[in-house]
Amino acid sequence: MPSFHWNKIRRTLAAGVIGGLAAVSAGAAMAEDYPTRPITMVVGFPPGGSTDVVARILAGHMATTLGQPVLVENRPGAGGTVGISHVAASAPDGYTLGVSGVGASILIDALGRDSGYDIDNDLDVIGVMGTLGLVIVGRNGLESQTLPELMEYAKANPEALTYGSSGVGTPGHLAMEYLKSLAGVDMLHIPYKGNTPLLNDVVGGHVDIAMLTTPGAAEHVRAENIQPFAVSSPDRSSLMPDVPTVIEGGFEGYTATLWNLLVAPKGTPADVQAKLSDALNEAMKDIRVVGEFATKGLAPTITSPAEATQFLADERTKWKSVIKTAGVTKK
Amino acid sequence: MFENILLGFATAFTPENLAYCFLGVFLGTFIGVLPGLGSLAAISMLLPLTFYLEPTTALIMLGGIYYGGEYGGSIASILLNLPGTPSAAVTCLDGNPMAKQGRAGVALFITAIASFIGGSVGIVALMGFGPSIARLGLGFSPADYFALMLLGLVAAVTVGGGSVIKGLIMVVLGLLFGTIGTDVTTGDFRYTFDFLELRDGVSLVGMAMGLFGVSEVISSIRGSKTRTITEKVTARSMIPTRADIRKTFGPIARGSSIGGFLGALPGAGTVIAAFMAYATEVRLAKDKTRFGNGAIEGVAAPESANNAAAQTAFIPTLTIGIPGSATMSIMLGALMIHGISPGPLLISDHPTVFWGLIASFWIGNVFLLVLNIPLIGLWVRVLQFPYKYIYPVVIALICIGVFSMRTSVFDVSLVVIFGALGYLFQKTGYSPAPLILGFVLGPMLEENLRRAMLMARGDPVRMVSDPLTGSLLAISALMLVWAVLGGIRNIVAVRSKAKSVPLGEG
Amino acid sequence: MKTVSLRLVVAALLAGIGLTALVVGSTYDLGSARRMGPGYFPVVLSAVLVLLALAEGVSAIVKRDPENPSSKVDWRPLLAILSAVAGFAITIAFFGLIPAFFVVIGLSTLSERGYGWKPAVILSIITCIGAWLLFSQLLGMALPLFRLGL
Repeated sequence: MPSFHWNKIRRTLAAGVIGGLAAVSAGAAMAEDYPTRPITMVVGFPPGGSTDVVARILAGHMATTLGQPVLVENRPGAGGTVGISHVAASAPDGYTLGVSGVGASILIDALGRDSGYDIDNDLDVIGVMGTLGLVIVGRNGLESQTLPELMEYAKANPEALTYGSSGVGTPGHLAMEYLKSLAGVDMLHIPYKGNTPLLNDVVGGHVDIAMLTTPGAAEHVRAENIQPFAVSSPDRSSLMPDVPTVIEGGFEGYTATLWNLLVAPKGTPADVQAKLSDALNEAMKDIRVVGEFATKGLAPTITSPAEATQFLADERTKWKSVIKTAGVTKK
Repeated sequence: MFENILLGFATAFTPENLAYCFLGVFLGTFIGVLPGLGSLAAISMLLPLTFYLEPTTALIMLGGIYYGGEYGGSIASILLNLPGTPSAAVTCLDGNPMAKQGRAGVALFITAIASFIGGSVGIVALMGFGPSIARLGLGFSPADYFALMLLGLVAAVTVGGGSVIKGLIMVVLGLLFGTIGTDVTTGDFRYTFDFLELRDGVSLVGMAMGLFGVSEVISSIRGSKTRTITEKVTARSMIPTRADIRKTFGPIARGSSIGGFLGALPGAGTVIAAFMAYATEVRLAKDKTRFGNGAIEGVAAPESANNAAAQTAFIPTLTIGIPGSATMSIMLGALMIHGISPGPLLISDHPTVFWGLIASFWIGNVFLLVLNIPLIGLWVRVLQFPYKYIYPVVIALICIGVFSMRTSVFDVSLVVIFGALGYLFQKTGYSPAPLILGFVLGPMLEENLRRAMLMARGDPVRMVSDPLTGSLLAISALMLVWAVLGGIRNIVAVRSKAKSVPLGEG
Repeated sequence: MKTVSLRLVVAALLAGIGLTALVVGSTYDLGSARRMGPGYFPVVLSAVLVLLALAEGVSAIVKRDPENPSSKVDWRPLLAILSAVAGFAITIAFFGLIPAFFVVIGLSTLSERGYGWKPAVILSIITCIGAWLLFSQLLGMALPLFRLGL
């Protein structure tokens, strides 16, 4: 695929094509000149996926701020960790960046699986690339109409309800386990491979409830193929403003959101990081980016590298405790 | 309805859209011909090109790339036994023997025609009954999917012409290879032996290139000096005879219907369509021994099924917004990039996109026909080079093709292992096609079985008592018993024949 | 006789694969029929494979096929082609695409006696140029043409 490149070579190639001389001096160039050649943004998922879409929206705007192309490169595999471990192993010069989601940043590691890198020691966090809420939906024909009703029913009838997730240890699975433990109910977990077959079975009525991303569910909610119960974000979603949050449903303190971090190899010069952080925050303020984010159910975020690192630490604490309570770990 | 179709053609018939459709078909064919690169690879490679186009134009071009890629895969399969997808593996079974008999032109011609008819049938189904077919597909529960895939696998046992035991071995081995990687239900690693690369499973392309391509090259080298393909590249030699056309009429009709129906089922449908169509023809044929030895029906049926399925695979994708395959997910991703939320309301919210796309599907199919029939002569000429100069290049292209899929050296080393296995299998009469199907369906089969058992709370009776699941399972069981009985009868017949005429077989 | 023994060898190989999978698979969690563990499916499959391979082995002994020259193993092309692919894998990892093409084509041509180095070199050059044009220029895949070390 076009983006399976080896960076070193690709840089030389790209540089050769674009403007020979500049490239030769690029290696020795000062950080204040940064960037002098195209920047690669590695996405650990295939083109067209939700992470890829986020990366492309932001990369497009960052390129205009930085004055160099920001090329999105897809290196899919192993839940996004293949791409991020490539970034971790790249030179810390600010020309190879990565987009790291909840799974690659926290969950894979917290579930006791080897990702091939340690996010704290191998990567620098530049900023948060927006957050995305989840929504609890049910198949048509369920008697419960609200989240409290649903949880009451589940409490009275243990394991009568089935809930689907897009896989063991995915945010949707863990967020549902989190809710189960808060509500003190038992539902039967049915794992799927990704969102698509899960969506198929909720719409088809084969599984009772599921936690889906808001953009993935919005159209089906609008067509009344499925009924929404609550969104997992702290605030209501721009895509379905009528749907209450889980907190409104009486589960104090419950939030579960998806997000991506812009990361760079550890040791990237501070002024390069600052430039990247400014470009990212600039993009988050851009009216077109904000508009595109809204149609995709994404909430923009403006963070400094330090704030983003703190955000990662807070999220890690939360998900780790969810994993512990839910008892999902690799044996 | 009618005005919608007109709207569609009005949208698709702009010079710009036509040009991109043509470009898409052309590029897709070109990439599809390369060993190991199929329509999925073609679409993912060229997707970024379409980001800057109008949404309708972008989808039209992607649609063109998709068909082009599928057809290109058939070309590589027929000429050099290099399938990149499970359905192309079926085309290899009779297509490649045809090429060896000097009938590559006819095989390619029939492929183009069968693809066109199958595609057209699929498009009519998509236009006429899209939403209702989609509802039908939604009604399939995990247990139904499990039963359907089992049926597909049983059908595959009879594909390849060898003995039933060998067919079963290949299917089971394929299923077993399919378990390598991360277990979906628990997330545990199985048979990964600490290789990071194996966590996402064995590469299908690496496996197919080894089993088919590499083993084919190895066994062709010895005969290559004596093997001369004396195919005259005249227009005449490419046109099928009247007998050929009569023979393919039924298979194309049956293949299109089978493919059209199965394609609408997300996930499994498009994979098993070609196998089911092929198995049906084998069942119906009076002389079953012709299959695997260049029977034209064995090319026509799977190709029409494959293309009909490729069209109806758009039904769940476009009418309910649930992609049926990896390729379809990319198409949906392309829609999202263009700010169109794919979903159940796509048809009413964006009628120009939907109907324009359908019209361009058909135009794309016409282009495929127009572009490829003149090119058949060119492709056939490839075989006229001395084999001596072809095979090193084929091996090199296999290597680079497999490598470029995931920039993985590991995948290339898999080609070595599967090449050796494939060669041994070929020498001893095992057909690798059922193995490929087992490999692709295995994870889905297991996933759906486990899901179905969870939903039935561990009660197999409850699972089987569903009328659809039950009847599908019953058909599979009957077909298997039939095949095994046939196999036993065959052995008995051969043994008694062997007694009367020593070494009289073959 | 040759045919029978090769059939037997393959049947034994398959039984071996099945047995290995069975042994390794039995270390995985089997689970129950309701909640099947990761080991359930592989264990059942590998057991079935072993049984089928044994049946095939028996049938290879009982039902002898007539001797057939096409079922002899051609060691020379087999080893040459397999080492060509392996050579490509090793070379591209350490030295890049262009040397890898020379290696794969060079080793492939060892399949036949007296192929000569001239056509091999010419083919390699043509393939390199073609692949560079196609993959790097047209399809925009930046493949490592030359590199040193990992």
